[in-house]
Amino acid sequence: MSEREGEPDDRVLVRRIAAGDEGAFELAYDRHGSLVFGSLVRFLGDREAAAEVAQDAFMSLWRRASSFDPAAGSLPGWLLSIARHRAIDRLRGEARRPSPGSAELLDDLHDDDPWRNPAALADRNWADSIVRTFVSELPEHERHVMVLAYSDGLSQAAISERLDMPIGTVKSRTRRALARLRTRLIEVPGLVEGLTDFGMETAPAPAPYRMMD
Amino acid sequence: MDHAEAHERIADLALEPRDLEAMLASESSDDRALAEHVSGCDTCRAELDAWQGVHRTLAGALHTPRPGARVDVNPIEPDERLRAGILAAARADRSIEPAIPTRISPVAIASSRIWTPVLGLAAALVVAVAGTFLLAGPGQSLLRTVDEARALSNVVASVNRILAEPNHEVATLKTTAGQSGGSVAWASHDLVVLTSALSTPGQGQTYRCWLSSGGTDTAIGRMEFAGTTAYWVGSLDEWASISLDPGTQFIVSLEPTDGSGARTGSVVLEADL
Repeated sequence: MSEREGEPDDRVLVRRIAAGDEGAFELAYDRHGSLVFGSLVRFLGDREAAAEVAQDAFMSLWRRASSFDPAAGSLPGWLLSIARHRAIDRLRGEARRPSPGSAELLDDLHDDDPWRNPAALADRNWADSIVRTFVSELPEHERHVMVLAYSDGLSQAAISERLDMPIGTVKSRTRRALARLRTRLIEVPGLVEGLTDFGMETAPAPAPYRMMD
Repeated sequence: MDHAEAHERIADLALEPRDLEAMLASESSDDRALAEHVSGCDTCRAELDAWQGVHRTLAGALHTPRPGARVDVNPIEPDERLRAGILAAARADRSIEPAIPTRISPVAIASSRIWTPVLGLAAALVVAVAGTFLLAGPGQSLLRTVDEARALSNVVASVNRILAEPNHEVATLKTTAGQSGGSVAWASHDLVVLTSALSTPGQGQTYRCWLSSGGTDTAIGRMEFAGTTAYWVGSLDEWASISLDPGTQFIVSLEPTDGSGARTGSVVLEADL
Protein backbone atom coordinates (compact mmCIF):
# COMPACT_ATOMS: atom_id res chain seq x y z
CA MET A 1 0.00 0.00 0.00
CA SER A 2 1.42 3.40 -0.88
CA GLU A 3 1.13 6.65 1.03
CA ARG A 4 -2.33 8.20 0.98
CA GLU A 5 -3.09 11.88 0.79
CA GLY A 6 -3.09 13.47 4.22
CA GLU A 7 -1.10 10.67 5.82
CA PRO A 8 2.35 11.38 7.25
CA ASP A 9 5.25 10.40 5.01
CA ASP A 10 7.66 7.65 5.99
CA ARG A 11 10.19 10.02 7.51
CA VAL A 12 7.59 11.39 9.90
CA LEU A 13 6.34 7.88 10.64
CA VAL A 14 9.80 6.65 11.58
CA ARG A 15 10.37 9.62 13.90
CA ARG A 16 7.08 8.84 15.64
CA ILE A 17 7.91 5.15 15.87
CA ALA A 18 11.26 6.03 17.45
CA ALA A 19 9.26 7.98 20.05
CA GLY A 20 7.13 4.89 20.74
CA ASP A 21 4.03 5.82 18.74
CA GLU A 22 2.12 2.56 18.18
CA GLY A 23 -0.26 4.21 15.71
CA ALA A 24 2.66 5.20 13.50
CA PHE A 25 4.02 1.66 13.68
CA GLU A 26 0.61 0.33 12.66
CA LEU A 27 0.50 2.69 9.71
CA ALA A 28 4.01 1.68 8.66
CA TYR A 29 2.93 -1.96 8.68
CA ASP A 30 -0.21 -1.21 6.68
CA ARG A 31 1.88 0.72 4.17
CA HIS A 32 4.74 -1.74 3.71
CA GLY A 33 3.64 -5.05 5.23
CA SER A 34 2.40 -6.52 1.95
CA LEU A 35 5.63 -5.66 0.12
CA VAL A 36 7.81 -7.23 2.81
CA PHE A 37 5.60 -10.29 3.25
CA GLY A 38 5.02 -10.83 -0.47
CA SER A 39 8.74 -10.61 -1.22
CA LEU A 40 9.52 -13.05 1.58
CA VAL A 41 6.90 -15.57 0.48
CA ARG A 42 8.32 -15.50 -3.04
CA PHE A 43 11.87 -15.85 -1.72
CA LEU A 44 11.31 -18.47 0.97
CA GLY A 45 8.41 -20.29 -0.67
CA ASP A 46 6.70 -20.65 2.72
CA ARG A 47 4.05 -18.35 4.17
CA GLU A 48 4.71 -19.36 7.77
CA ALA A 49 8.45 -18.76 7.49
CA ALA A 50 7.78 -15.50 5.67
CA ALA A 51 5.46 -14.36 8.46
CA GLU A 52 8.14 -15.00 11.06
CA VAL A 53 10.82 -13.13 9.14
CA ALA A 54 8.40 -10.27 8.42
CA GLN A 55 7.73 -10.03 12.13
CA ASP A 56 11.47 -9.87 12.80
CA ALA A 57 11.86 -7.08 10.27
CA PHE A 58 9.04 -4.99 11.70
CA MET A 59 10.20 -5.59 15.27
CA SER A 60 13.61 -4.30 14.21
CA LEU A 61 11.87 -1.17 12.99
CA TRP A 62 10.01 -0.88 16.30
CA ARG A 63 13.17 -1.29 18.36
CA ARG A 64 15.68 0.52 16.18
CA ALA A 65 13.72 3.20 14.39
CA SER A 66 16.07 5.83 15.75
CA SER A 67 18.92 4.28 13.75
CA PHE A 68 17.09 4.80 10.45
CA ASP A 69 18.60 7.58 8.36
CA PRO A 70 16.06 8.79 5.79
CA ALA A 71 18.78 10.60 3.89
CA ALA A 72 20.44 7.27 3.16
CA GLY A 73 17.43 5.37 1.84
CA SER A 74 13.74 4.69 1.95
CA LEU A 75 11.80 2.93 4.71
CA PRO A 76 10.71 0.04 2.45
CA GLY A 77 14.32 -0.33 1.33
CA TRP A 78 15.40 -0.48 4.97
CA LEU A 79 12.75 -3.03 5.90
CA LEU A 80 13.59 -5.18 2.88
CA SER A 81 17.27 -5.02 3.73
CA ILE A 82 16.58 -6.36 7.22
CA ALA A 83 14.20 -8.98 5.84
CA ARG A 84 16.77 -10.12 3.31
CA HIS A 85 19.43 -10.71 5.96
CA ARG A 86 17.01 -12.53 8.24
CA ALA A 87 15.70 -14.65 5.39
CA ILE A 88 19.18 -15.62 4.20
CA ASP A 89 20.22 -16.42 7.78
CA ARG A 90 17.17 -18.63 7.99
CA LEU A 91 18.02 -20.41 4.76
CA ARG A 92 21.60 -20.91 5.91
CA GLY A 93 20.31 -22.34 9.16
CA GLU A 94 18.05 -24.72 7.38
CA ALA A 95 20.71 -25.48 4.76
CA ARG A 96 18.14 -25.06 2.06
CA ARG A 97 18.35 -23.75 -1.44
CA PRO A 98 16.91 -20.26 -1.74
CA SER A 99 13.48 -21.48 -2.80
CA PRO A 100 11.73 -24.13 -4.81
CA GLY A 101 11.76 -21.67 -7.69
CA SER A 102 15.52 -21.39 -7.44
CA ALA A 103 15.88 -25.12 -7.76
CA GLU A 104 14.06 -24.89 -11.07
CA LEU A 105 16.23 -21.97 -12.05
CA LEU A 106 19.34 -23.99 -11.36
CA ASP A 107 18.11 -26.65 -13.74
CA ASP A 108 17.96 -24.02 -16.46
CA LEU A 109 21.53 -22.91 -15.97
CA HIS A 110 24.70 -24.19 -17.51
CA ASP A 111 27.46 -25.53 -15.30
CA ASP A 112 29.69 -22.56 -15.99
CA ASP A 113 26.98 -20.02 -15.27
CA PRO A 114 28.03 -17.62 -12.51
CA TRP A 115 24.56 -17.91 -10.99
CA ARG A 116 25.52 -21.36 -9.79
CA ASN A 117 27.23 -19.47 -6.98
CA PRO A 118 24.71 -19.90 -4.11
CA ALA A 119 25.23 -16.40 -2.71
CA ALA A 120 24.77 -14.80 -6.12
CA LEU A 121 21.76 -17.00 -6.74
CA ALA A 122 20.23 -15.92 -3.42
CA ASP A 123 20.86 -12.26 -4.26
CA ARG A 124 19.29 -12.63 -7.67
CA ASN A 125 16.35 -14.58 -6.30
CA TRP A 126 15.77 -11.94 -3.62
CA ALA A 127 15.87 -9.13 -6.18
CA ASP A 128 13.48 -11.03 -8.45
CA SER A 129 11.14 -11.62 -5.51
CA ILE A 130 10.94 -7.90 -4.80
CA VAL A 131 10.45 -6.98 -8.45
CA ARG A 132 7.69 -9.55 -8.86
CA THR A 133 6.03 -8.18 -5.74
CA PHE A 134 6.21 -4.66 -7.15
CA VAL A 135 4.59 -5.95 -10.36
CA SER A 136 1.93 -7.71 -8.30
CA GLU A 137 1.01 -4.36 -6.74
CA LEU A 138 0.06 -2.89 -10.13
CA PRO A 139 -3.59 -2.56 -11.09
CA GLU A 140 -4.61 -5.77 -12.81
CA HIS A 141 -4.92 -4.28 -16.31
CA GLU A 142 -1.43 -2.81 -16.08
CA ARG A 143 -0.02 -6.00 -14.62
CA HIS A 144 -1.42 -7.91 -17.56
CA VAL A 145 0.38 -5.84 -20.19
CA MET A 146 3.62 -6.09 -18.20
CA VAL A 147 3.39 -9.88 -18.16
CA LEU A 148 2.67 -10.00 -21.87
CA ALA A 149 5.61 -7.69 -22.61
CA TYR A 150 8.25 -9.13 -20.30
CA SER A 151 7.16 -12.70 -19.66
CA ASP A 152 5.79 -13.49 -23.09
CA GLY A 153 8.09 -11.06 -24.90
CA LEU A 154 5.31 -9.47 -26.96
CA SER A 155 5.62 -6.09 -28.62
CA GLN A 156 3.06 -3.35 -28.01
CA ALA A 157 1.46 -4.14 -31.35
CA ALA A 158 1.29 -7.85 -30.53
CA ILE A 159 -0.26 -7.11 -27.14
CA SER A 160 -2.82 -4.90 -28.85
CA GLU A 161 -3.69 -7.73 -31.18
CA ARG A 162 -3.72 -10.36 -28.43
CA LEU A 163 -6.05 -8.31 -26.24
CA ASP A 164 -8.05 -6.91 -29.14
CA MET A 165 -7.38 -3.49 -27.71
CA PRO A 166 -6.37 -0.19 -29.38
CA ILE A 167 -2.59 0.25 -29.47
CA GLY A 168 -3.00 3.63 -27.75
CA THR A 169 -4.62 1.95 -24.75
CA VAL A 170 -1.82 -0.61 -24.55
CA LYS A 171 0.79 2.14 -24.67
CA SER A 172 -0.87 4.26 -22.02
CA ARG A 173 -1.17 1.28 -19.68
CA THR A 174 2.44 0.34 -20.32
CA ARG A 175 3.57 3.91 -19.74
CA ARG A 176 1.74 4.14 -16.43
CA ALA A 177 2.96 0.73 -15.29
CA LEU A 178 6.58 1.52 -16.13
CA ALA A 179 6.39 4.86 -14.35
CA ARG A 180 5.01 3.21 -11.21
CA LEU A 181 7.58 0.44 -11.33
CA ARG A 182 10.49 2.79 -11.86
CA THR A 183 9.42 4.81 -8.82
CA ARG A 184 9.20 1.66 -6.73
CA LEU A 185 12.47 0.19 -8.00
CA ILE A 186 14.30 3.34 -6.95
CA GLU A 187 13.22 2.71 -3.34
CA VAL A 188 15.44 -0.36 -3.07
CA PRO A 189 19.12 0.36 -3.57
CA GLY A 190 20.92 -2.04 -5.84
CA LEU A 191 17.78 -3.51 -7.36
CA VAL A 192 18.43 -1.78 -10.64
CA GLU A 193 22.15 -1.34 -10.95
CA GLY A 194 23.02 2.28 -10.19
CA LEU A 195 19.46 3.56 -10.53
CA THR A 196 18.75 6.44 -8.16
CA ASP A 197 16.37 9.39 -8.04
CA PHE A 198 18.82 11.19 -10.26
CA GLY A 199 19.34 8.54 -12.86
CA MET A 200 22.32 6.27 -13.06
CA GLU A 201 24.97 6.58 -10.43
CA THR A 202 27.40 4.01 -9.20
CA ALA A 203 27.55 4.23 -5.45
CA PRO A 204 28.04 1.80 -2.59
CA ALA A 205 25.04 0.82 -0.50
CA PRO A 206 24.25 3.53 2.04
CA ALA A 207 25.20 3.00 5.66
CA PRO A 208 21.86 1.75 7.02
CA TYR A 209 21.86 -1.16 4.62
CA ARG A 210 25.38 -2.21 5.42
CA MET A 211 24.67 -1.81 9.12
CA MET A 212 22.19 -4.66 9.04
CA ASP A 213 24.76 -7.19 7.81
CA MET B 1 17.41 17.22 -32.00
CA ASP B 2 16.89 19.41 -28.92
CA HIS B 3 16.78 18.22 -25.34
CA ALA B 4 13.00 18.24 -24.88
CA GLU B 5 12.50 16.34 -28.11
CA ALA B 6 15.13 13.79 -27.13
CA HIS B 7 13.58 13.31 -23.72
CA GLU B 8 10.17 12.70 -25.27
CA ARG B 9 11.62 10.28 -27.78
CA ILE B 10 13.35 8.27 -25.04
CA ALA B 11 10.07 8.08 -23.13
CA ASP B 12 8.38 6.67 -26.24
CA LEU B 13 11.16 4.19 -26.87
CA ALA B 14 11.00 3.11 -23.23
CA LEU B 15 7.64 1.53 -23.92
CA GLU B 16 9.30 -1.09 -26.06
CA PRO B 17 12.44 -2.65 -24.58
CA ARG B 18 13.80 -3.72 -27.95
CA ASP B 19 13.37 -0.24 -29.40
CA LEU B 20 15.81 1.23 -26.90
CA GLU B 21 18.51 -1.23 -27.90
CA ALA B 22 17.70 -0.97 -31.57
CA MET B 23 17.86 2.81 -31.54
CA LEU B 24 21.55 2.85 -30.70
CA ALA B 25 22.37 0.63 -33.67
CA SER B 26 19.82 2.07 -36.06
CA GLU B 27 20.76 3.84 -39.26
CA SER B 28 17.53 5.86 -39.49
CA SER B 29 18.00 9.60 -39.41
CA ASP B 30 15.72 10.06 -36.38
CA ASP B 31 17.56 7.45 -34.36
CA ARG B 32 20.96 8.78 -35.41
CA ALA B 33 19.89 12.27 -34.32
CA LEU B 34 18.78 10.95 -30.95
CA ALA B 35 21.94 8.89 -30.50
CA GLU B 36 23.99 11.95 -31.33
CA HIS B 37 22.13 14.06 -28.75
CA VAL B 38 22.43 11.37 -26.09
CA SER B 39 26.16 11.04 -26.61
CA GLY B 40 26.59 14.72 -25.72
CA CYS B 41 23.90 15.09 -23.02
CA ASP B 42 24.55 13.60 -19.58
CA THR B 43 20.93 13.97 -18.51
CA CYS B 44 19.55 12.10 -21.51
CA ARG B 45 22.32 9.53 -21.28
CA ALA B 46 21.36 8.91 -17.64
CA GLU B 47 17.69 8.72 -18.57
CA LEU B 48 18.39 6.23 -21.33
CA ASP B 49 20.61 4.13 -19.08
CA ALA B 50 17.98 4.21 -16.34
CA TRP B 51 15.29 2.87 -18.65
CA GLN B 52 17.63 0.19 -19.93
CA GLY B 53 18.29 -0.81 -16.33
CA VAL B 54 14.57 -0.97 -15.58
CA HIS B 55 13.98 -3.13 -18.66
CA ARG B 56 16.81 -5.50 -17.77
CA THR B 57 15.50 -5.81 -14.22
CA LEU B 58 11.94 -6.48 -15.31
CA ALA B 59 12.99 -8.91 -18.01
CA GLY B 60 15.22 -10.78 -15.55
CA ALA B 61 12.47 -11.05 -12.96
CA LEU B 62 9.53 -11.81 -15.22
CA HIS B 63 11.00 -13.93 -17.98
CA THR B 64 11.43 -17.63 -17.55
CA PRO B 65 13.25 -19.76 -20.10
CA ARG B 66 10.71 -22.55 -19.76
CA PRO B 67 8.48 -22.55 -22.84
CA GLY B 68 4.92 -21.55 -22.05
CA ALA B 69 5.71 -20.91 -18.39
CA ARG B 70 4.95 -17.64 -16.64
CA VAL B 71 6.23 -16.20 -13.40
CA ASP B 72 3.48 -15.80 -10.84
CA VAL B 73 2.90 -12.11 -10.19
CA ASN B 74 -0.47 -12.39 -8.53
CA PRO B 75 -0.72 -10.39 -5.31
CA ILE B 76 0.29 -12.17 -2.11
CA GLU B 77 -1.37 -10.60 0.90
CA PRO B 78 -0.56 -11.34 4.54
CA ASP B 79 -3.55 -12.40 6.58
CA GLU B 80 -4.92 -10.36 9.43
CA ARG B 81 -3.31 -12.65 12.02
CA LEU B 82 0.16 -11.48 11.01
CA ARG B 83 -0.83 -7.86 11.46
CA ALA B 84 -2.38 -8.59 14.85
CA GLY B 85 0.64 -10.62 15.89
CA ILE B 86 3.16 -7.95 14.96
CA LEU B 87 1.20 -5.20 16.68
CA ALA B 88 0.77 -7.37 19.80
CA ALA B 89 4.49 -8.15 19.77
CA ALA B 90 5.31 -4.44 19.64
CA ARG B 91 3.00 -3.72 22.56
CA ALA B 92 4.44 -6.59 24.57
CA ASP B 93 7.96 -5.52 23.65
CA ARG B 94 7.38 -2.12 25.16
CA SER B 95 6.01 -3.58 28.40
CA ILE B 96 9.05 -5.82 28.68
CA GLU B 97 11.97 -3.53 28.20
CA PRO B 98 11.87 -0.40 30.29
CA ALA B 99 8.68 -0.90 32.25
CA ILE B 100 9.19 -4.02 34.31
CA PRO B 101 12.47 -3.32 36.07
CA THR B 102 11.55 0.26 36.89
CA ARG B 103 8.13 -0.64 38.23
CA ILE B 104 9.14 -3.64 40.25
CA SER B 105 12.39 -2.43 41.72
CA PRO B 106 11.14 0.52 43.82
CA VAL B 107 8.48 -1.63 45.45
CA ALA B 108 11.03 -4.32 46.01
CA ILE B 109 13.11 -1.90 48.00
CA ALA B 110 10.11 -0.58 49.93
CA SER B 111 8.87 -3.97 51.04
CA SER B 112 11.65 -6.31 50.28
CA ARG B 113 11.19 -8.49 53.34
CA ILE B 114 8.19 -10.46 52.18
CA TRP B 115 8.29 -9.70 48.48
CA THR B 116 11.67 -11.12 47.69
CA PRO B 117 10.38 -14.46 46.38
CA VAL B 118 7.64 -12.83 44.33
CA LEU B 119 10.06 -10.42 42.74
CA GLY B 120 12.54 -13.14 41.93
CA LEU B 121 9.87 -15.19 40.24
CA ALA B 122 8.43 -12.18 38.49
CA ALA B 123 11.89 -11.42 37.16
CA ALA B 124 12.02 -14.98 35.86
CA LEU B 125 8.76 -14.32 34.06
CA VAL B 126 10.12 -11.13 32.56
CA VAL B 127 12.99 -13.13 31.16
CA ALA B 128 10.52 -15.71 29.90
CA VAL B 129 8.40 -13.07 28.18
CA ALA B 130 11.43 -11.62 26.45
CA GLY B 131 12.75 -15.07 25.62
CA THR B 132 9.48 -16.07 24.06
CA PHE B 133 10.01 -13.42 21.41
CA LEU B 134 13.74 -13.21 21.15
CA LEU B 135 14.57 -16.88 21.22
CA ALA B 136 11.66 -18.31 19.29
CA GLY B 137 13.24 -20.86 17.00
CA PRO B 138 12.53 -21.36 13.32
CA GLY B 139 10.06 -24.11 14.09
CA GLN B 140 8.16 -22.06 16.63
CA SER B 141 4.73 -21.08 15.43
CA LEU B 142 4.43 -17.34 15.24
CA LEU B 143 0.90 -17.42 16.57
CA ARG B 144 1.83 -19.70 19.44
CA THR B 145 4.73 -17.42 20.26
CA VAL B 146 2.47 -14.42 20.28
CA ASP B 147 -0.13 -16.20 22.42
CA GLU B 148 2.47 -17.31 24.96
CA ALA B 149 4.08 -13.90 25.15
CA ARG B 150 0.70 -12.26 25.52
CA ALA B 151 -0.19 -14.60 28.38
CA LEU B 152 3.11 -13.97 30.14
CA SER B 153 2.77 -10.24 29.63
CA ASN B 154 -0.62 -10.44 31.35
CA VAL B 155 1.00 -12.13 34.34
CA VAL B 156 3.68 -9.48 34.60
CA ALA B 157 1.07 -6.75 34.23
CA SER B 158 -0.93 -8.31 37.08
CA VAL B 159 2.18 -8.39 39.27
CA ASN B 160 2.71 -4.73 38.53
CA ARG B 161 -0.87 -3.85 39.44
CA ILE B 162 -0.64 -5.78 42.70
CA LEU B 163 2.63 -4.14 43.66
CA ALA B 164 1.16 -0.73 42.93
CA GLU B 165 -1.63 -1.18 45.49
CA PRO B 166 -0.68 -0.30 49.07
CA ASN B 167 -3.06 -2.88 50.52
CA HIS B 168 -1.75 -5.82 48.58
CA GLU B 169 -1.25 -9.07 50.41
CA VAL B 170 1.03 -12.01 50.03
CA ALA B 171 1.19 -15.54 51.37
CA THR B 172 3.98 -18.04 51.12
CA LEU B 173 3.37 -21.26 49.23
CA LYS B 174 4.79 -24.26 51.02
CA THR B 175 5.60 -27.72 49.83
CA THR B 176 4.29 -30.75 51.71
CA ALA B 177 7.69 -30.89 53.39
CA GLY B 178 7.09 -27.40 54.77
CA GLN B 179 9.63 -25.67 52.57
CA SER B 180 8.95 -22.34 50.91
CA GLY B 181 7.96 -22.95 47.31
CA GLY B 182 6.66 -19.67 45.96
CA SER B 183 4.07 -17.00 46.65
CA VAL B 184 0.43 -16.12 46.28
CA ALA B 185 -0.08 -12.39 45.92
CA TRP B 186 -3.30 -10.48 45.54
CA ALA B 187 -4.81 -7.05 45.67
CA SER B 188 -8.22 -5.64 44.81
CA HIS B 189 -8.39 -6.99 41.26
CA ASP B 190 -5.67 -9.56 40.74
CA LEU B 191 -4.35 -12.73 42.21
CA VAL B 192 -1.05 -14.16 41.01
CA VAL B 193 0.54 -17.43 41.96
CA LEU B 194 4.22 -17.89 41.19
CA THR B 195 6.33 -20.90 42.01
CA SER B 196 9.52 -22.55 40.94
CA ALA B 197 8.88 -25.63 43.05
CA LEU B 198 6.93 -27.59 40.46
CA SER B 199 8.35 -29.87 37.83
CA THR B 200 6.61 -30.24 34.50
CA PRO B 201 3.64 -32.59 34.96
CA GLY B 202 3.66 -35.95 33.25
CA GLN B 203 1.50 -36.75 30.25
CA GLY B 204 -2.16 -36.78 31.19
CA GLN B 205 -1.53 -34.78 34.35
CA THR B 206 -1.94 -31.15 35.30
CA TYR B 207 -1.54 -28.96 38.34
CA ARG B 208 -4.87 -27.55 39.46
CA CYS B 209 -5.44 -24.62 41.79
CA TRP B 210 -8.09 -24.68 44.51
CA LEU B 211 -9.47 -22.46 47.20
CA SER B 212 -10.33 -24.51 50.25
CA SER B 213 -12.56 -23.18 53.01
CA GLY B 214 -14.81 -24.89 55.55
CA GLY B 215 -14.10 -28.29 54.05
CA THR B 216 -15.14 -27.21 50.54
CA ASP B 217 -12.72 -27.07 47.64
CA THR B 218 -13.38 -24.75 44.72
CA ALA B 219 -11.38 -25.24 41.53
CA ILE B 220 -10.12 -21.93 40.15
CA GLY B 221 -7.63 -22.83 37.46
CA ARG B 222 -4.58 -24.72 36.24
CA MET B 223 -0.94 -23.79 36.54
CA GLU B 224 0.92 -22.74 33.39
CA PHE B 225 4.67 -22.98 32.83
CA ALA B 226 7.15 -20.40 31.57
CA GLY B 227 10.58 -21.97 31.67
CA THR B 228 11.11 -23.27 35.19
CA THR B 229 8.51 -20.92 36.67
CA ALA B 230 4.90 -21.99 37.01
CA TYR B 231 2.18 -19.40 37.37
CA TRP B 232 -1.50 -18.82 37.60
CA VAL B 233 -3.18 -15.47 37.35
CA GLY B 234 -6.81 -14.56 37.86
CA SER B 235 -8.95 -11.54 38.29
CA LEU B 236 -10.85 -11.26 41.54
CA ASP B 237 -13.80 -10.11 39.49
CA GLU B 238 -14.04 -13.57 37.99
CA TRP B 239 -14.57 -15.28 41.29
CA ALA B 240 -15.83 -12.46 43.44
CA SER B 241 -18.43 -14.72 44.97
CA ILE B 242 -15.67 -16.68 46.65
CA SER B 243 -14.99 -15.20 50.03
CA LEU B 244 -11.44 -15.09 51.21
CA ASP B 245 -12.32 -15.68 54.81
CA PRO B 246 -9.59 -16.12 57.35
CA GLY B 247 -8.57 -19.75 57.27
CA THR B 248 -9.00 -20.06 53.51
CA GLN B 249 -6.26 -22.11 51.94
CA PHE B 250 -4.83 -21.96 48.45
CA ILE B 251 -3.94 -25.43 47.24
CA VAL B 252 -2.14 -26.81 44.21
CA SER B 253 -2.65 -30.50 43.51
CA LEU B 254 -1.52 -32.85 40.80
CA GLU B 255 -4.61 -34.10 38.99
CA PRO B 256 -5.51 -36.07 35.85
CA THR B 257 -5.97 -33.72 32.90
CA ASP B 258 -9.48 -35.04 32.35
CA GLY B 259 -10.34 -35.09 36.06
CA SER B 260 -13.69 -34.07 37.45
CA GLY B 261 -14.48 -30.93 39.43
CA ALA B 262 -13.44 -32.62 42.66
CA ARG B 263 -9.94 -32.66 44.08
CA THR B 264 -8.65 -36.23 44.01
CA GLY B 265 -4.89 -35.86 43.48
CA SER B 266 -2.14 -35.27 45.95
CA VAL B 267 -1.49 -31.77 47.32
CA VAL B 268 1.90 -30.44 46.22
CA LEU B 269 1.73 -26.83 47.41
CA GLU B 270 -0.46 -24.90 49.81
CA ALA B 271 -0.71 -21.47 51.38
CA ASP B 272 -2.75 -19.99 54.21
CA LEU B 273 -4.46 -16.88 52.87
